[in-house]
Amino acid sequence: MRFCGHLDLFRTWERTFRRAALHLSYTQGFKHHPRINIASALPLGFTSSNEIMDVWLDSNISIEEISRSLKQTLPPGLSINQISFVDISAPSLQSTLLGSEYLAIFLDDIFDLEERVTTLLNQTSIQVERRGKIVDIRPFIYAITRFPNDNKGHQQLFLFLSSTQEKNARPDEVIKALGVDPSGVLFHRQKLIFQNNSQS
Amino acid sequence: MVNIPLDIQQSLQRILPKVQKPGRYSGGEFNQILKDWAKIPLRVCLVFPDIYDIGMSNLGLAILYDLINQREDALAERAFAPWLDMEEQIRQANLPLYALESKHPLRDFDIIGFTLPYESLFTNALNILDLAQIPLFSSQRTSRHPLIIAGGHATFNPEPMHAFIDAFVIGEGEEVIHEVLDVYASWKKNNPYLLNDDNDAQTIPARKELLRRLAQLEGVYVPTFYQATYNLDQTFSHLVCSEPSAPAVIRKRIVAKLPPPPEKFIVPYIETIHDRIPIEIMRGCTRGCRFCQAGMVTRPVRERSVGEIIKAIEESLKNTGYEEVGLLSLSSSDYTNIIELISTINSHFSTDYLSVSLPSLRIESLSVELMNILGLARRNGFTLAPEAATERMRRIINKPVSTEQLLETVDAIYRNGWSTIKLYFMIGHPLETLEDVQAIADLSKMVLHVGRKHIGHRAQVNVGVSTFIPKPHTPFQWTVCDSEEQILSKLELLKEKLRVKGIKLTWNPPDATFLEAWLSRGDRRMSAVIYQAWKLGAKFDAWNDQRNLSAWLQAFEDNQIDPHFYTHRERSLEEAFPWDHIDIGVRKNYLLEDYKWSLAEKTRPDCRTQCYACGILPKYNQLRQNNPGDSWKCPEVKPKIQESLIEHDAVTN
Repeated sequence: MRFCGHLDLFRTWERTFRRAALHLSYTQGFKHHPRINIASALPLGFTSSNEIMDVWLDSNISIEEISRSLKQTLPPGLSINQISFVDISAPSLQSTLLGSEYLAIFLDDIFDLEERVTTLLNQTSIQVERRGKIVDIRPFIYAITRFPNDNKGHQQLFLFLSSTQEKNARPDEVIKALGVDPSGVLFHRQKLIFQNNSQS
Repeated sequence: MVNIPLDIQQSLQRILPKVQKPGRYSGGEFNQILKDWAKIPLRVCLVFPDIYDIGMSNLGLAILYDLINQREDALAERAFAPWLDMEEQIRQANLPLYALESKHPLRDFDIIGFTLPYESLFTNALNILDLAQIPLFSSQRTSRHPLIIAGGHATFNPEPMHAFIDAFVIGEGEEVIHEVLDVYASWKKNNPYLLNDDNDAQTIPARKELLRRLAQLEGVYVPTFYQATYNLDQTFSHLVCSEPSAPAVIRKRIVAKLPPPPEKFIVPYIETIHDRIPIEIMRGCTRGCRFCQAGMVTRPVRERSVGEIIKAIEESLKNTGYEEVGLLSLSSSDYTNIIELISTINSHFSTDYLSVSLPSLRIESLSVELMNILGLARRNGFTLAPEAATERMRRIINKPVSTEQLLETVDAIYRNGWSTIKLYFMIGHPLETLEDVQAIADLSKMVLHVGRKHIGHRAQVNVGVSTFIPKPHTPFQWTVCDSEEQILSKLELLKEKLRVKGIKLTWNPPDATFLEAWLSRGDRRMSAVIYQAWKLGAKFDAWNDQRNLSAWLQAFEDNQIDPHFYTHRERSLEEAFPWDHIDIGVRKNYLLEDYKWSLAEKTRPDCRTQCYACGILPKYNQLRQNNPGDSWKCPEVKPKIQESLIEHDAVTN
């Protein structure tokens, strides 16, 4: 599941609903697409324990029944935390997303991790390259703090980053800025924060 | 040394973020079957030697995976060729190639089964053995190593790969795979200590004993028990069998009745080339196009019932959630109850946003009707495969569609809302002239013209041109390939004549054609060439951007073999073929007769209208008797019919 990309995840959800015989609402037109709206694309290789999506169903069915049906057809690696009805006129998840909280789990010990974090946070600007463009991500880093080691003894950092459509930083960009190769780090998204925080 | 699944798992954590589409290498998909190694004595790894994205769309692999995992004493896992970036990573980390389910290295399995549907996978198979840290040559392996078996259409001429594969399974695998596993299980039980034994004095004879027992199974070919002899002019003479218990001729296996289709397909997380449920509605083809190897080697034609197909679709949809079903066969519109099938699917699944693909439709108005009933999205275009553009040429290849009928079908297609027609042609057919090639351009323009009449400049014609290869076990196996100059001049002609707005021409590069021709027609001496080409870096030969023809030419030169010997030499009708010991059920004399008919431009009509005694019925007489009725498209046989009678009929026909 960790290596399921955003589009793959979209298809995976579609198939999970289809297996559960829950009738998804489809767009009409050239090609039918199920109306599934995932709040924020999870980068390839990341895990998460708190993703949110809107799904349009064609049938009127209770939350309990939706939950029961899906539980039987979820693929390995996906589980459901909570389901609730959303007002059909509610703004899209993407437009209300403010920030994301991550854990970065270091497979190799970085002995001066805390110093590196302090140095980084003291910088007034952190330039990263994105598709040929230079972006300053310092303003999008709200917090980086040390988190207790995991049960295998791996060091962990807690990252709180801005995730709006225009202003955002990716945790692997932050890790690179710390001078650490992100391929030795596991990333886990813990929480998405929305304007009206009732959803998360 | 890293060798246990947990270590591999941990290495992958670091490696996978560095490669493209890591979902190819992680396993864990919905419906994957992971059994406990400690409790299962027989462990099989099924390998499709190209990338995951392609291999996961292979129905043969899905069928065997399903069948083996149904056994309580066996497990089946999967492995594919890693793409270049992943190969670099696993070589760097010195990781042995592993199976996706349990992450056990391939070398820890009992049996590794390669599926080889086409020849350009051969070097990948070698590369996979190498990545798995298993000796490449059958002669270097003992009972300490996994048994390496292979099947699939490319193994109807097994000789080019004879040095690398311990046992070939010729024909349909559904029944014989169980026999292979049973033989292995009883052998393993009697040799429990050998797998970890370093003593060659024990492990070499033990392996030989296993091979001897396998060779006694019908449809199993163990090449080490045969030696090839050649004539002074280097042509192949015959095989000498050195093992008394092994058969002189290996007859392909078929199943009397198509078994229930798999209904619990693995659902990949990443997108694969055919991301859908594949349901085989029919096996074999009664049309007898003379260039088509599949049409000859998959005889007899057997169908599944509409009820069985509907049930399979229903179950697989429930099990997978797929949004598309592919109804597979060599000629879908020839399925007896095709209208009933399509209408039933339509009414049954109407609320499911299910799309149905129906490949391999014939050039007739019925096909348009079928597509209309399916209400398929028009944007995909409508595919027709006339294969040749003149009626003369179509008689020669025995695909006798009239140009009038073709244009009528084209008219119906454009009239019914499609704007794109894809036309498939072949160049290089026997007796082809430049006029026949010119006719491809003319016909394509006529098709476009019909389209313009209906929808003006929206009409589009995509012309795909491939080059004929005289495949083993076909009526054209005696013919010569076009030379490179001929192919290039024909392609030039088409490129020039089809520089027309509204027509798009694509073609197969000649190097792909030649390589496939050499590999499909080769004899045992090709093994050394394949090995050398792989050493020189050849792999992913099916990929136009990866194929390394200079490595192949170098490999031929290093072995002092002229590749044109296999493909560009006139040969007498008496010359033996290196694949003569493989019996596809169709008589060689029947193929020869059909070849002679082709030279006389004589067509052989659909054999459902009349039996031409191709040889299938006498050879599989008993199977037919046990399965009377119309699931077979061959006539029924009465219990007492004699083989000689049918052979006699053939002569008088």
